[in-house]
Amino acid sequence: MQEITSMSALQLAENQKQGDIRAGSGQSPAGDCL
Amino acid sequence: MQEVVKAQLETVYKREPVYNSYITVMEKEALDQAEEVQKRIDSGELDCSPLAGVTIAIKDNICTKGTRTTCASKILENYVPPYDATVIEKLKKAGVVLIGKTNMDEFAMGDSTKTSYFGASKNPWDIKCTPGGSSGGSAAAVAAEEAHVSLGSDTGGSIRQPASYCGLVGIKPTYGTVSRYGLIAFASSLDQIGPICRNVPDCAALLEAISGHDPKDSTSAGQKSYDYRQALLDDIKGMKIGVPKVYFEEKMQEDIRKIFLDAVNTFKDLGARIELFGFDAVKYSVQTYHVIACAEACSNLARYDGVKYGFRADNYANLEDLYKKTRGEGFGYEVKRRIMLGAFVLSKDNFEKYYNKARKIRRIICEAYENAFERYDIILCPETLETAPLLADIDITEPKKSSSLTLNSSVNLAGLPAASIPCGLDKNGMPVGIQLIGKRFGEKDIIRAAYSFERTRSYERPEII
Repeated sequence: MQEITSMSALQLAENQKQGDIRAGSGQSPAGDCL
Repeated sequence: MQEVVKAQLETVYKREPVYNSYITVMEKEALDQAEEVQKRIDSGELDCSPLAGVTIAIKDNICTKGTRTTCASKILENYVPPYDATVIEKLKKAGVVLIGKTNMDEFAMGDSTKTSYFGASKNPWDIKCTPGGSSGGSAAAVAAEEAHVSLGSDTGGSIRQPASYCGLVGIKPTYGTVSRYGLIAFASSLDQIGPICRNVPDCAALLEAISGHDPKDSTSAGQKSYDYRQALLDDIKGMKIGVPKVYFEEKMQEDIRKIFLDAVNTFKDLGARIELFGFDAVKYSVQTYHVIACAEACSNLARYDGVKYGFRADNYANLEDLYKKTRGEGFGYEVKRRIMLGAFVLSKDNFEKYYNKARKIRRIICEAYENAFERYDIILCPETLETAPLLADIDITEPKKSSSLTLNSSVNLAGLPAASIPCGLDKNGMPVGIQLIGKRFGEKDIIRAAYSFERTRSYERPEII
Protein backbone atom coordinates (compact mmCIF):
# COMPACT_ATOMS: atom_id res chain seq x y z
CA MET A 1 0.00 0.00 0.00
CA GLN A 2 2.85 2.38 0.84
CA GLU A 3 4.20 1.98 -2.69
CA ILE A 4 0.92 3.22 -4.17
CA THR A 5 0.76 6.39 -2.12
CA SER A 6 4.40 7.29 -2.66
CA MET A 7 4.37 6.89 -6.46
CA SER A 8 4.57 9.91 -8.73
CA ALA A 9 1.18 10.83 -10.20
CA LEU A 10 2.14 10.18 -13.83
CA GLN A 11 3.68 6.84 -12.92
CA LEU A 12 0.58 5.78 -10.98
CA ALA A 13 -1.75 6.70 -13.85
CA GLU A 14 0.39 4.88 -16.40
CA ASN A 15 0.60 1.76 -14.25
CA GLN A 16 -3.16 1.74 -13.75
CA LYS A 17 -3.71 1.89 -17.49
CA GLN A 18 -1.35 -1.06 -17.87
CA GLY A 19 -3.39 -2.88 -15.21
CA ASP A 20 -0.39 -3.10 -12.89
CA ILE A 21 -0.41 -0.41 -10.24
CA ARG A 22 2.64 -1.87 -8.51
CA ALA A 23 4.90 -2.09 -11.54
CA GLY A 24 6.59 1.30 -11.06
CA SER A 25 10.35 1.51 -11.39
CA GLY A 26 10.59 4.61 -9.17
CA GLN A 27 12.08 6.59 -12.06
CA SER A 28 10.54 9.80 -13.32
CA PRO A 29 8.00 8.70 -15.90
CA ALA A 30 7.95 11.90 -17.98
CA GLY A 31 9.63 10.35 -20.98
CA ASP A 32 7.20 7.43 -21.13
CA CYS A 33 4.14 9.61 -20.88
CA LEU A 34 4.94 12.23 -23.48
CA MET B 1 -8.51 1.87 -9.15
CA GLN B 2 -10.50 1.21 -5.98
CA GLU B 3 -7.40 -0.36 -4.44
CA VAL B 4 -5.54 2.89 -5.05
CA VAL B 5 -8.26 5.00 -3.46
CA LYS B 6 -8.64 2.64 -0.50
CA ALA B 7 -4.87 2.70 0.07
CA GLN B 8 -4.93 6.48 -0.11
CA LEU B 9 -7.84 6.77 2.33
CA GLU B 10 -6.14 4.36 4.76
CA THR B 11 -3.04 6.54 4.71
CA VAL B 12 -5.14 9.68 5.21
CA TYR B 13 -6.96 8.28 8.24
CA LYS B 14 -3.70 7.02 9.74
CA ARG B 15 -1.82 10.30 9.34
CA GLU B 16 -4.49 12.95 9.74
CA PRO B 17 -4.39 12.98 13.56
CA VAL B 18 -0.77 14.13 13.21
CA TYR B 19 -0.76 16.46 10.19
CA ASN B 20 -4.29 17.93 10.04
CA SER B 21 -3.95 18.45 6.28
CA TYR B 22 -7.67 18.05 5.56
CA ILE B 23 -10.79 19.84 6.66
CA THR B 24 -13.09 17.34 4.91
CA VAL B 25 -12.22 13.85 3.66
CA MET B 26 -14.44 12.80 0.73
CA GLU B 27 -14.48 9.05 1.37
CA LYS B 28 -17.78 8.11 -0.26
CA GLU B 29 -17.34 10.45 -3.21
CA ALA B 30 -13.79 9.17 -3.78
CA LEU B 31 -14.84 5.50 -3.77
CA ASP B 32 -17.80 6.21 -6.10
CA GLN B 33 -15.56 8.18 -8.42
CA ALA B 34 -12.96 5.38 -8.38
CA GLU B 35 -15.54 2.91 -9.63
CA GLU B 36 -16.60 5.23 -12.42
CA VAL B 37 -13.00 6.06 -13.42
CA GLN B 38 -12.13 2.36 -13.56
CA LYS B 39 -14.96 1.82 -16.04
CA ARG B 40 -13.70 4.73 -18.14
CA ILE B 41 -10.12 3.38 -18.04
CA ASP B 42 -11.37 -0.08 -19.09
CA SER B 43 -13.37 1.37 -21.97
CA GLY B 44 -10.31 3.27 -23.23
CA GLU B 45 -12.02 6.63 -22.75
CA LEU B 46 -9.14 7.91 -20.59
CA ASP B 47 -6.26 6.63 -22.75
CA CYS B 48 -5.17 10.19 -23.52
CA SER B 49 -5.55 11.45 -19.98
CA PRO B 50 -2.14 11.31 -18.24
CA LEU B 51 -3.63 11.71 -14.76
CA ALA B 52 -6.50 9.21 -14.90
CA GLY B 53 -6.84 7.44 -11.55
CA VAL B 54 -4.61 9.86 -9.64
CA THR B 55 -5.77 11.11 -6.23
CA ILE B 56 -5.93 14.83 -5.60
CA ALA B 57 -6.43 17.08 -2.56
CA ILE B 58 -8.27 20.34 -3.19
CA LYS B 59 -7.77 23.57 -1.24
CA ASP B 60 -10.96 24.35 0.65
CA ASN B 61 -11.62 27.63 -1.16
CA ILE B 62 -12.41 25.83 -4.44
CA CYS B 63 -16.09 24.94 -4.80
CA THR B 64 -17.04 21.26 -4.96
CA LYS B 65 -20.66 20.43 -5.68
CA GLY B 66 -22.25 18.62 -2.74
CA THR B 67 -19.13 18.79 -0.55
CA ARG B 68 -18.73 21.59 1.96
CA THR B 69 -16.30 24.34 1.06
CA THR B 70 -15.37 26.28 4.18
CA CYS B 71 -12.44 28.59 3.32
CA ALA B 72 -11.29 27.44 6.79
CA SER B 73 -13.76 29.94 8.26
CA LYS B 74 -16.55 29.64 10.80
CA ILE B 75 -18.67 31.81 8.52
CA LEU B 76 -18.67 29.09 5.80
CA GLU B 77 -18.32 26.09 8.13
CA ASN B 78 -21.38 24.36 6.70
CA TYR B 79 -21.55 25.90 3.23
CA VAL B 80 -22.20 23.28 0.53
CA PRO B 81 -21.79 24.71 -2.99
CA PRO B 82 -24.47 23.81 -5.55
CA TYR B 83 -21.89 23.75 -8.35
CA ASP B 84 -18.35 22.63 -9.19
CA ALA B 85 -15.57 25.12 -9.93
CA THR B 86 -14.35 24.91 -13.52
CA VAL B 87 -11.07 23.31 -12.38
CA ILE B 88 -13.05 20.58 -10.58
CA GLU B 89 -15.12 19.88 -13.71
CA LYS B 90 -11.90 19.59 -15.72
CA LEU B 91 -10.29 17.24 -13.17
CA LYS B 92 -13.34 14.97 -13.05
CA LYS B 93 -13.38 14.84 -16.84
CA ALA B 94 -9.69 13.86 -16.78
CA GLY B 95 -10.44 10.98 -14.37
CA VAL B 96 -8.67 12.51 -11.35
CA VAL B 97 -10.15 11.34 -8.03
CA LEU B 98 -10.88 13.94 -5.34
CA ILE B 99 -9.78 12.70 -1.91
CA GLY B 100 -10.65 15.72 0.20
CA LYS B 101 -10.64 19.42 0.91
CA THR B 102 -7.49 20.76 2.49
CA ASN B 103 -6.79 23.08 5.37
CA MET B 104 -5.69 26.64 4.71
CA ASP B 105 -5.48 30.04 6.33
CA GLU B 106 -8.95 31.56 6.76
CA PHE B 107 -9.97 32.98 3.35
CA ALA B 108 -6.33 32.42 2.30
CA MET B 109 -5.20 35.25 4.56
CA GLY B 110 -1.99 34.13 6.20
CA ASP B 111 1.20 32.19 5.57
CA SER B 112 1.11 29.39 8.15
CA THR B 113 -2.45 27.89 8.34
CA LYS B 114 -2.54 29.26 11.88
CA THR B 115 -5.50 31.52 11.02
CA SER B 116 -7.60 28.45 10.09
CA TYR B 117 -10.79 27.97 12.15
CA PHE B 118 -9.94 24.23 12.07
CA GLY B 119 -6.47 24.54 13.67
CA ALA B 120 -3.06 24.64 12.00
CA SER B 121 -1.63 21.90 9.78
CA LYS B 122 1.78 20.40 10.59
CA ASN B 123 4.81 20.23 8.34
CA PRO B 124 5.61 16.55 7.55
CA TRP B 125 9.34 17.40 7.67
CA ASP B 126 9.02 18.50 11.30
CA ILE B 127 5.64 18.59 12.96
CA LYS B 128 6.72 21.44 15.22
CA CYS B 129 6.97 23.64 12.10
CA THR B 130 4.37 25.23 9.86
CA PRO B 131 3.80 23.77 6.38
CA GLY B 132 3.42 27.39 5.21
CA GLY B 133 0.33 29.02 3.86
CA SER B 134 -2.11 29.78 2.85
CA SER B 135 -2.22 26.48 0.89
CA GLY B 136 -0.47 24.72 3.80
CA GLY B 137 -2.90 21.78 3.96
CA SER B 138 -2.47 21.11 0.23
CA ALA B 139 1.33 21.03 0.60
CA ALA B 140 1.26 18.96 3.80
CA ALA B 141 -1.11 16.41 2.20
CA VAL B 142 1.21 15.82 -0.76
CA ALA B 143 4.42 15.77 1.33
CA ALA B 144 2.82 13.31 3.80
CA GLU B 145 1.62 11.14 0.88
CA GLU B 146 -2.01 11.76 1.82
CA ALA B 147 -2.63 12.61 -1.86
CA HIS B 148 -0.56 12.29 -5.02
CA VAL B 149 -1.07 15.89 -6.10
CA SER B 150 -3.02 18.90 -4.90
CA LEU B 151 -4.45 22.24 -5.92
CA GLY B 152 -3.74 25.46 -4.07
CA SER B 153 -4.41 29.11 -4.77
CA ASP B 154 -1.85 31.90 -4.84
CA THR B 155 -2.59 35.56 -4.07
CA GLY B 156 0.82 36.60 -2.71
CA GLY B 157 2.85 33.36 -2.62
CA SER B 158 0.30 30.93 -1.16
CA ILE B 159 1.26 28.07 -3.50
CA ARG B 160 4.99 28.72 -3.78
CA GLN B 161 5.85 29.29 -0.10
CA PRO B 162 4.15 26.10 1.26
CA ALA B 163 5.65 24.10 -1.62
CA SER B 164 9.06 25.42 -0.59
CA TYR B 165 8.53 24.71 3.13
CA CYS B 166 7.42 21.13 2.35
CA GLY B 167 10.06 20.24 -0.27
CA LEU B 168 7.60 20.23 -3.21
CA VAL B 169 7.09 21.82 -6.60
CA GLY B 170 4.40 24.51 -6.83
CA ILE B 171 3.38 26.58 -9.83
CA LYS B 172 1.46 29.84 -9.79
CA PRO B 173 0.26 30.26 -13.39
CA THR B 174 -0.05 33.51 -15.35
CA TYR B 175 -3.17 35.43 -14.31
CA GLY B 176 -5.94 34.24 -16.62
CA THR B 177 -4.42 30.83 -17.48
CA VAL B 178 -6.61 28.90 -15.03
CA SER B 179 -10.29 29.75 -14.59
CA ARG B 180 -11.19 31.35 -11.25
CA TYR B 181 -14.86 30.36 -11.65
CA GLY B 182 -15.71 28.64 -8.38
CA LEU B 183 -12.64 29.89 -6.52
CA ILE B 184 -13.95 31.79 -3.51
CA ALA B 185 -12.46 35.24 -4.02
CA PHE B 186 -9.95 36.88 -1.72
CA ALA B 187 -8.29 39.47 -4.04
CA SER B 188 -9.71 38.97 -7.51
CA SER B 189 -6.94 40.72 -9.47
CA LEU B 190 -4.23 38.62 -7.77
CA ASP B 191 -5.76 35.15 -7.16
CA GLN B 192 -4.79 32.15 -9.33
CA ILE B 193 -5.28 28.41 -8.83
CA GLY B 194 -2.25 26.19 -9.39
CA PRO B 195 -0.73 22.74 -8.74
CA ILE B 196 1.43 21.48 -5.86
CA CYS B 197 3.17 18.16 -6.61
CA ARG B 198 6.23 16.06 -5.75
CA ASN B 199 7.97 16.69 -9.09
CA VAL B 200 7.93 18.93 -12.14
CA PRO B 201 6.38 16.44 -14.64
CA ASP B 202 3.39 15.88 -12.32
CA CYS B 203 3.00 19.66 -11.97
CA ALA B 204 3.18 20.17 -15.75
CA ALA B 205 0.55 17.47 -16.34
CA LEU B 206 -1.79 18.85 -13.67
CA LEU B 207 -1.42 22.42 -14.91
CA GLU B 208 -2.20 21.19 -18.42
CA ALA B 209 -5.37 19.51 -17.13
CA ILE B 210 -6.75 22.63 -15.41
CA SER B 211 -5.69 25.38 -17.86
CA GLY B 212 -7.76 26.86 -20.66
CA HIS B 213 -10.15 29.62 -21.55
CA ASP B 214 -13.41 29.64 -19.61
CA PRO B 215 -16.34 31.81 -20.70
CA LYS B 216 -17.57 31.74 -17.08
CA ASP B 217 -14.51 33.76 -15.97
CA SER B 218 -14.25 37.15 -17.69
CA THR B 219 -10.55 37.42 -16.76
CA SER B 220 -9.74 34.07 -18.35
CA ALA B 221 -7.31 34.26 -21.28
CA GLY B 222 -7.18 32.00 -24.33
CA GLN B 223 -3.86 30.54 -25.47
CA LYS B 224 -3.02 28.53 -28.57
CA SER B 225 -1.41 25.70 -26.64
CA TYR B 226 -1.41 24.40 -23.09
CA ASP B 227 0.92 21.49 -23.84
CA TYR B 228 3.19 22.10 -20.86
CA ARG B 229 4.61 18.55 -20.84
CA GLN B 230 6.22 19.31 -24.19
CA ALA B 231 8.58 21.67 -22.32
CA LEU B 232 9.97 18.68 -20.38
CA LEU B 233 11.78 17.55 -23.53
CA ASP B 234 13.90 20.68 -23.99
CA ASP B 235 17.18 21.69 -22.33
CA ILE B 236 18.18 25.18 -21.17
CA LYS B 237 21.37 25.70 -23.17
CA GLY B 238 21.63 29.42 -23.96
CA MET B 239 18.67 30.36 -21.73
CA LYS B 240 19.14 33.87 -20.30
CA ILE B 241 18.50 33.99 -16.56
CA GLY B 242 18.42 37.21 -14.54
CA VAL B 243 19.09 37.24 -10.79
CA PRO B 244 17.82 40.43 -9.03
CA LYS B 245 20.48 41.91 -6.73
CA VAL B 246 17.82 43.51 -4.55
CA TYR B 247 16.85 40.23 -2.85
CA PHE B 248 20.39 39.76 -1.50
CA GLU B 249 19.94 42.96 0.50
CA GLU B 250 17.11 41.30 2.48
CA LYS B 251 17.89 39.59 5.79
CA MET B 252 18.24 36.00 4.61
CA GLN B 253 19.04 32.76 6.46
CA GLU B 254 22.75 32.14 5.72
CA ASP B 255 22.40 28.55 4.49
CA ILE B 256 19.59 29.63 2.11
CA ARG B 257 22.00 32.14 0.56
CA LYS B 258 24.61 29.39 0.14
CA ILE B 259 22.15 26.83 -1.28
CA PHE B 260 20.76 29.47 -3.67
CA LEU B 261 24.24 30.33 -4.97
CA ASP B 262 24.88 26.58 -5.50
CA ALA B 263 21.65 26.44 -7.50
CA VAL B 264 22.76 29.41 -9.63
CA ASN B 265 25.99 27.51 -10.42
CA THR B 266 23.95 24.44 -11.38
CA PHE B 267 21.97 26.51 -13.90
CA LYS B 268 25.28 27.80 -15.25
CA ASP B 269 26.57 24.22 -15.59
CA LEU B 270 23.38 23.31 -17.47
CA GLY B 271 24.25 25.90 -20.12
CA ALA B 272 22.22 28.94 -18.98
CA ARG B 273 23.66 32.45 -19.07
CA ILE B 274 23.32 34.12 -15.67
CA GLU B 275 23.39 37.85 -15.02
CA LEU B 276 22.82 39.92 -11.87
CA PHE B 277 20.63 42.99 -12.40
CA GLY B 278 19.10 45.91 -10.50
CA PHE B 279 15.39 45.56 -9.75
CA ASP B 280 14.58 48.27 -7.24
CA ALA B 281 10.90 48.64 -8.20
CA VAL B 282 10.00 45.45 -6.32
CA LYS B 283 11.13 47.04 -3.03
CA TYR B 284 7.63 48.54 -2.73
CA SER B 285 5.72 45.41 -3.66
CA VAL B 286 4.77 44.31 -0.10
CA GLN B 287 3.16 47.66 0.77
CA THR B 288 1.44 47.82 -2.63
CA TYR B 289 0.23 44.26 -2.24
CA HIS B 290 -1.27 44.97 1.19
CA VAL B 291 -3.25 47.99 -0.01
CA ILE B 292 -4.62 46.27 -3.14
CA ALA B 293 -5.27 42.87 -1.52
CA CYS B 294 -7.05 44.35 1.50
CA ALA B 295 -9.15 46.68 -0.66
CA GLU B 296 -10.29 43.80 -2.85
CA ALA B 297 -10.87 41.53 0.16
CA CYS B 298 -13.01 44.18 1.83
CA SER B 299 -15.21 44.28 -1.26
CA ASN B 300 -15.28 40.51 -1.87
CA LEU B 301 -16.12 39.58 1.72
CA ALA B 302 -19.02 42.04 1.98
CA ARG B 303 -21.32 39.25 0.79
CA TYR B 304 -21.01 37.28 4.05
CA ASP B 305 -23.79 38.95 5.99
CA GLY B 306 -25.78 36.07 7.47
CA VAL B 307 -28.62 36.56 4.99
CA LYS B 308 -27.65 34.82 1.76
CA TYR B 309 -25.64 31.84 2.99
CA GLY B 310 -23.21 30.66 5.64
CA PHE B 311 -23.18 31.27 9.38
CA ARG B 312 -25.84 33.47 10.99
CA ALA B 313 -25.58 34.81 14.58
CA ASP B 314 -28.26 33.50 16.95
CA ASN B 315 -29.41 36.58 18.84
CA TYR B 316 -29.91 39.89 17.07
CA ALA B 317 -32.22 42.87 17.53
CA ASN B 318 -32.60 44.06 13.94
CA LEU B 319 -31.03 43.73 10.48
CA GLU B 320 -28.02 45.92 11.23
CA ASP B 321 -27.40 43.99 14.43
CA LEU B 322 -27.61 40.72 12.44
CA TYR B 323 -24.89 41.93 10.05
CA LYS B 324 -22.64 43.10 12.88
CA LYS B 325 -23.00 39.98 15.02
CA THR B 326 -22.74 37.54 12.12
CA ARG B 327 -19.56 39.12 10.79
CA GLY B 328 -18.14 39.77 14.26
CA GLU B 329 -18.62 36.14 15.35
CA GLY B 330 -18.07 34.50 11.94
CA PHE B 331 -14.74 35.99 10.87
CA GLY B 332 -11.42 35.44 12.63
CA TYR B 333 -8.95 38.12 13.73
CA GLU B 334 -6.80 38.30 10.57
CA VAL B 335 -9.80 38.49 8.22
CA LYS B 336 -11.35 41.30 10.26
CA ARG B 337 -8.01 43.14 10.32
CA ARG B 338 -7.74 43.02 6.53
CA ILE B 339 -11.38 44.01 5.98
CA MET B 340 -10.84 47.06 8.20
CA LEU B 341 -7.62 47.98 6.39
CA GLY B 342 -9.42 47.60 3.07
CA ALA B 343 -12.31 49.81 4.22
CA PHE B 344 -9.76 52.40 5.38
CA VAL B 345 -7.86 52.62 2.07
CA LEU B 346 -11.10 52.72 0.07
CA SER B 347 -12.71 55.47 2.14
CA LYS B 348 -13.29 58.83 0.46
CA ASP B 349 -10.47 60.64 2.26
CA ASN B 350 -7.88 57.91 1.75
CA PHE B 351 -8.68 56.55 -1.72
CA GLU B 352 -6.24 58.82 -3.60
CA LYS B 353 -3.55 58.63 -0.94
CA TYR B 354 -3.45 54.83 -0.66
CA TYR B 355 -5.46 52.86 -3.22
CA ASN B 356 -4.76 54.96 -6.30
CA LYS B 357 -1.11 55.35 -5.34
CA ALA B 358 -0.84 51.56 -4.94
CA ARG B 359 -2.34 51.09 -8.42
CA LYS B 360 0.28 53.44 -9.87
CA ILE B 361 3.12 51.58 -8.14
CA ARG B 362 1.67 48.32 -9.40
CA ARG B 363 2.01 49.71 -12.94
CA ILE B 364 5.67 50.60 -12.23
CA ILE B 365 6.34 47.07 -10.96
CA CYS B 366 4.72 45.59 -14.12
CA GLU B 367 6.90 47.83 -16.31
CA ALA B 368 10.03 46.83 -14.38
CA TYR B 369 9.23 43.17 -15.12
CA GLU B 370 8.51 43.95 -18.79
CA ASN B 371 11.91 45.67 -19.07
CA ALA B 372 13.67 42.76 -17.34
CA PHE B 373 12.04 40.23 -19.67
CA GLU B 374 13.38 42.10 -22.70
CA ARG B 375 16.79 40.85 -21.53
CA TYR B 376 16.01 37.57 -19.76
CA ASP B 377 13.95 34.44 -20.38
CA ILE B 378 13.41 33.83 -16.68
CA ILE B 379 14.20 35.50 -13.36
CA LEU B 380 15.68 33.40 -10.55
CA CYS B 381 15.55 34.18 -6.82
CA PRO B 382 15.22 32.39 -3.48
CA GLU B 383 11.63 31.39 -2.67
CA THR B 384 11.74 32.41 1.00
CA LEU B 385 14.20 34.17 3.29
CA GLU B 386 13.97 31.41 5.90
CA THR B 387 12.90 27.77 6.08
CA ALA B 388 9.64 26.75 7.79
CA PRO B 389 9.43 28.49 11.19
CA LEU B 390 8.20 26.82 14.36
CA LEU B 391 4.43 27.04 14.76
CA ALA B 392 4.97 28.18 18.35
CA ASP B 393 6.97 31.20 17.14
CA ILE B 394 4.17 32.48 14.89
CA ASP B 395 1.89 35.08 16.49
CA ILE B 396 -1.01 35.78 14.16
CA THR B 397 -2.04 38.89 16.10
CA GLU B 398 1.29 40.55 15.35
CA PRO B 399 1.64 40.96 11.59
CA LYS B 400 5.27 41.12 10.46
CA LYS B 401 6.81 41.86 7.10
CA SER B 402 6.38 38.32 5.84
CA SER B 403 9.41 36.77 4.18
CA SER B 404 7.31 34.97 1.60
CA LEU B 405 5.55 38.19 0.64
CA THR B 406 8.84 39.98 0.09
CA LEU B 407 9.87 37.53 -2.60
CA ASN B 408 6.49 36.58 -3.99
CA SER B 409 3.97 39.41 -4.02
CA SER B 410 5.44 41.35 -6.98
CA VAL B 411 4.78 38.29 -9.17
CA ASN B 412 1.05 38.42 -8.34
CA LEU B 413 0.92 42.18 -8.84
CA ALA B 414 2.36 41.71 -12.34
CA GLY B 415 0.21 38.61 -13.04
CA LEU B 416 3.25 36.52 -14.04
CA PRO B 417 3.84 32.76 -13.79
CA ALA B 418 6.31 31.44 -11.21
CA ALA B 419 7.40 28.08 -9.85
CA SER B 420 8.93 27.10 -6.56
CA ILE B 421 11.18 24.05 -6.73
CA PRO B 422 13.18 22.29 -4.01
CA CYS B 423 16.95 22.80 -4.13
CA GLY B 424 18.36 21.41 -0.88
CA LEU B 425 18.04 21.17 2.89
CA ASP B 426 19.19 23.64 5.53
CA LYS B 427 21.33 22.72 8.56
CA ASN B 428 18.23 21.49 10.42
CA GLY B 429 17.18 19.26 7.54
CA MET B 430 14.32 21.52 6.41
CA PRO B 431 13.66 22.05 2.67
CA VAL B 432 14.83 25.15 0.83
CA GLY B 433 13.17 26.32 -2.39
CA ILE B 434 14.11 28.54 -5.30
CA GLN B 435 11.72 30.56 -7.40
CA LEU B 436 11.67 30.78 -11.20
CA ILE B 437 9.62 33.67 -12.60
CA GLY B 438 8.56 33.65 -16.24
CA LYS B 439 7.21 36.06 -18.82
CA ARG B 440 3.44 36.42 -19.17
CA PHE B 441 2.27 32.98 -20.42
CA GLY B 442 5.89 31.79 -20.14
CA GLU B 443 4.96 28.66 -18.15
CA LYS B 444 6.85 26.47 -20.63
CA ASP B 445 10.11 28.35 -19.97
CA ILE B 446 9.88 27.88 -16.21
CA ILE B 447 8.85 24.22 -16.56
CA ARG B 448 11.80 23.61 -18.91
CA ALA B 449 14.24 25.25 -16.48
CA ALA B 450 12.67 23.64 -13.41
CA TYR B 451 12.81 20.14 -14.89
CA SER B 452 16.40 20.55 -16.08
CA PHE B 453 17.31 21.61 -12.54
CA GLU B 454 15.23 18.92 -10.84
CA ARG B 455 17.14 16.20 -12.66
CA THR B 456 20.39 17.37 -11.03
CA ARG B 457 18.99 16.73 -7.54
CA SER B 458 17.61 13.59 -5.92
CA TYR B 459 14.06 13.74 -4.55
CA GLU B 460 14.13 14.19 -0.79
CA ARG B 461 11.15 13.01 1.23
CA PRO B 462 10.37 13.51 4.92
CA GLU B 463 10.35 10.65 7.39
CA ILE B 464 6.61 10.06 7.70
CA ILE B 465 5.25 9.39 11.17
